Amino acid sequence: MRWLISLLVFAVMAMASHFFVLGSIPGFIMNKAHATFEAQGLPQNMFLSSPRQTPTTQRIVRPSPDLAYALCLFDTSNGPVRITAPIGEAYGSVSIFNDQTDNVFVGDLSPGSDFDSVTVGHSRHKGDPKPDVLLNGAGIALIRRLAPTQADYDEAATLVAGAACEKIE
Amino acid sequence: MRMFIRLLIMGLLGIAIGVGSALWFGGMIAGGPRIGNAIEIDGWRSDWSIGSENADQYVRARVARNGLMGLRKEEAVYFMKTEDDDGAALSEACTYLISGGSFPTNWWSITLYDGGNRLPMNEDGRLSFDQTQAEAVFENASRAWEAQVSAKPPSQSDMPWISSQAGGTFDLTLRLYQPEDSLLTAPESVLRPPSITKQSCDGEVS
Repeated sequence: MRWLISLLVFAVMAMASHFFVLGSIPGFIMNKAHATFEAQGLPQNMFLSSPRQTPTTQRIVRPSPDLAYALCLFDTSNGPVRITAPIGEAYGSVSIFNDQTDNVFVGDLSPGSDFDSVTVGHSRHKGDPKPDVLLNGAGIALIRRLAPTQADYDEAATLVAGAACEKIE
Repeated sequence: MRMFIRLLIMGLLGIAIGVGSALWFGGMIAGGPRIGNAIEIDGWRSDWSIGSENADQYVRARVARNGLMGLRKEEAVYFMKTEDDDGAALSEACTYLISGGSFPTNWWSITLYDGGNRLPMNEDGRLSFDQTQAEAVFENASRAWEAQVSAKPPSQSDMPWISSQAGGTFDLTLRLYQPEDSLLTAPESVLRPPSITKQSCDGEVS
């Protein structure tokens, strides 16, 4: 009987700690990514172009060297955010990730797309307009554009000036 | 008192096993599972739940560790292969020929990553091969293409090359952007992934 209780304690503690740690990994890594980006000078609510992805410039795991990236950190805790990005001349997308790494939205920035902007946030008060994408807290917006050559990358980088992820006042 | 100590030891042991197994199955420890293995076609592995709110805790943790900010399947799908067609681990010490055709997607690329999920630390400027290059180099109706994966440049100057220099034991990742619906609904019958044929290894007579 004593050994049965001991085994039960072992099993309960093993399972509880297993699922607690497993469930904490995405949030932990996303928080770490936020902190790293901020430490590297990435401001809140502003898209910034990442350098062309090479072995020496890579900031995140598994970057694609064929794409031009632009990142924006935002937080909807104090109100919604509107994200806009211009359509390019090659494949592109703007994607939004919550603090659990879920890809909660993808907008097409390829030629022919009718994407214009998307609002992100949560309803704080009854009667508030409902945002297009529900996200409460910190998030990351990421623009990817096809840029297999330096010339393509330079062209993609010029489009970043036309993108925004501003707080809606 | 003895009972209390026994329960304490068993509890601590349980926590240690639980934490260790979570870190391994979550891909946080080297040698643990990479992303998802729900779909496997000729050794190329993928998981359609990447990026989705419906991903289980294991896939979610592995994606956070090994593929942060991966897109959901409607926008892109990712296939990874760590072995050649004979089942041997891909190694910087060997030369491989990869070959394939078209894919049911808007655009594709194949990129080499080292064991730490990073682009290999070399200055060769040949980190990937993609649809744009394939169409430029191989002008044929069947869209067949091939490329060499090796630590040194190919002897054939017009052969496309992915450098594995400083890659150690590496993997190849196939990205398929804006996949056609047929790929998402019946990947096994629609996708013909690239073959990876080992040609030689250091110290071998080829």
